[in-house]
Amino acid sequence: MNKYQIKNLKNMSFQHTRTKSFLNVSNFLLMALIVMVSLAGVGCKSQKKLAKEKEKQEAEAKAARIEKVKQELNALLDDNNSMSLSEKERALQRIKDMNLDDVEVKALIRQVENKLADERAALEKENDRVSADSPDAKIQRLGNYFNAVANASSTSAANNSIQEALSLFTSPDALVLIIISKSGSTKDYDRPTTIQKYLNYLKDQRKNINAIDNVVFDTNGKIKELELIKK
Amino acid sequence: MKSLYKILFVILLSSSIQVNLFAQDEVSPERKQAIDSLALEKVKDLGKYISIIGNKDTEFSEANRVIERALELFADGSQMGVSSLSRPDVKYYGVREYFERLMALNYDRVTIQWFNIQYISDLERQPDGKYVGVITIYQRFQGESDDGLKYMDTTKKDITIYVERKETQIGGRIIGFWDVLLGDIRVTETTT
Amino acid sequence: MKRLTGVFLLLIGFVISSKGQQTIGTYLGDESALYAATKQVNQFFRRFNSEEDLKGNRIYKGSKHFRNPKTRRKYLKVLFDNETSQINADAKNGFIAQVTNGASPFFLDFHGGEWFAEVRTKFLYHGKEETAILFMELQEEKVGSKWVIKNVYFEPFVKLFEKEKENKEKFLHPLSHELAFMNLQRIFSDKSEVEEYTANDFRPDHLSLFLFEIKRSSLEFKSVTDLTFHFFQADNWYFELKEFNRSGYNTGWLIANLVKANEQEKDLLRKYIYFENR
Repeated sequence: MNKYQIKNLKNMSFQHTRTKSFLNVSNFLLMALIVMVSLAGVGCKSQKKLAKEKEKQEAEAKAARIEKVKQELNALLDDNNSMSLSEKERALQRIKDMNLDDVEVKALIRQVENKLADERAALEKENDRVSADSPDAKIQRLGNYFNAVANASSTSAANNSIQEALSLFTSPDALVLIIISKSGSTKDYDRPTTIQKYLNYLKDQRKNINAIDNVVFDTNGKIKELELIKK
Repeated sequence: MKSLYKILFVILLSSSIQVNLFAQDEVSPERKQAIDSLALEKVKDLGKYISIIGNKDTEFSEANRVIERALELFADGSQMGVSSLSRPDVKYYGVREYFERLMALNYDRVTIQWFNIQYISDLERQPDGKYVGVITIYQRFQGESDDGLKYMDTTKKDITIYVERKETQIGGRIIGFWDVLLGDIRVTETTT
Repeated sequence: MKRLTGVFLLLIGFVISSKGQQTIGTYLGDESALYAATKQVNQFFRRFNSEEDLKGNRIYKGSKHFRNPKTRRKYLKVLFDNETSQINADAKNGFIAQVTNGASPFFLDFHGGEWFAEVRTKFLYHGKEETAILFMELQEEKVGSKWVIKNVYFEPFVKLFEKEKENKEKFLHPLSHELAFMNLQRIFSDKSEVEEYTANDFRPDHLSLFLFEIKRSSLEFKSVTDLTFHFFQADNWYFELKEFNRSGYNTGWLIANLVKANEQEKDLLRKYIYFENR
């Protein structure tokens, strides 16, 4: 009932008698209310049916969602997951944001949280160790990456090792020189290349034929130039 | 008399410059061997790229990436000249076309096997100052389809190698390097 | 023959014992024949001079094995085509004895001249397939060297310029000059026989004609079909080098013809090869 209708009602009652007007008005209002409520009652009946179906659908969707989330959480718990740690953390946050009210999901979330926290701690420790690493240790790690890329079991494994190896360098375009022969002070080189190209070369050719001869670090302890020599 | 000495001096000087130039051209056997094995390495790299390209399991995008890498090994305009026992006429293909044909081959399995033998010629100087050589290798190609069809051949590949001494300036210092590029390849079917 | 077998066995032995080379992919089994094959003309030079060992490793100047006469004698025997070419055994032995003799041995020299290539090719001439034989020589330059086309033999040109040996009908009479050679008008109207009016020593230059036809797009290159090398470097000997693509151990670049020839005979041979006197 809008303001205009109320005003009309008031006017109508005023037209009848002034004294009775209050009662009349309230009666009318009451009647109107009854009519309204009974009318609404008819609508309520069909809406309930709809709501039930909707509820059912929602429950089903929720169950499916929970199932999917459980799978995702289990995948995050899998040690063979090829996602990077930050990717995993983002995936977990997305799941947490869903605020799913399910005991199993909550339990899995806790498990994943613990696992990722452990992984994060290990990585940070590793990073600390890497940045604190002596140049020699870094060189050794680089050598291991070369082997890992050349002998990788799959392309994605090789690509992961390439990404990790690249983190040791100032940039993917860091200079790589390959010495093909050395006599006295004269060195003969192959065509200069970049670390990214060289790592891809190892991946494609599946051979690690050069040894690390000299490494130049920048002030942040990253490799800016690499000299290799034929084994 | 004085001018005669002058002339003599100039002749002597110019001849000594000549000698020096030749001395610089002379590459020691050790360095030559290093260049030989560098060139051979490029040939082996090409072999690996060829088997990746010819492998049906290699994804299209990956094969294309590898074709680009393989083409980086070649001097511009390099060709493959192919002849078979049944057709001695040489067919000429651009290297890119050759790779693309290789990729399009409809075998389910392609095996490229290498004979553990190669021959590397002397490096000869050509008029533009670059060195040129030829590496000979032998290869067996086997293509097999799921319906049992098989194709096999053994080929001798004579591969041109261009070797050029180049210098580049990196971070203020000059790096001298050998630029080794592959050139034309003659492919002959053999009976072995 | 026993000696020959010995060399093959040696070669095979080295095949089996040669290891340590870097491996790529799968290698195939029996490679002894490929070791025995003279795989490049360059290898023919090295084997001829004994500048590589039996394993195929290069022997550099300064090594005591460099150009060793004993190895050379062994090698030279297997550098002949022993299957199809009928090379006289005496000639072969005489040649080997001469080039390996202690006092003045002979070595092949890549840059020594006196050898050239005969390249058989297929061209389309006015749309019809024809054989052209190109003669190629290695030319020394200020820096390095290069192969150049020295001459060409093209059958259609020969037919085009065939002159009658003694022509008693086609000539410009000895008083033509008095009429300011007005009879030229007549001879040039008959295109097919203009060569009859040239001097006795006229030889059409096939190479010029050939290049002219290429430039006019009348000639179109198709393919190389065969390759032979002619060697005149050794005193008193000529030999021919060809590639034999067949199974067995006597394969690759081998001497296919050997002729004892003095300088005069060599000149005749050269002319014969260039199709000048046939």
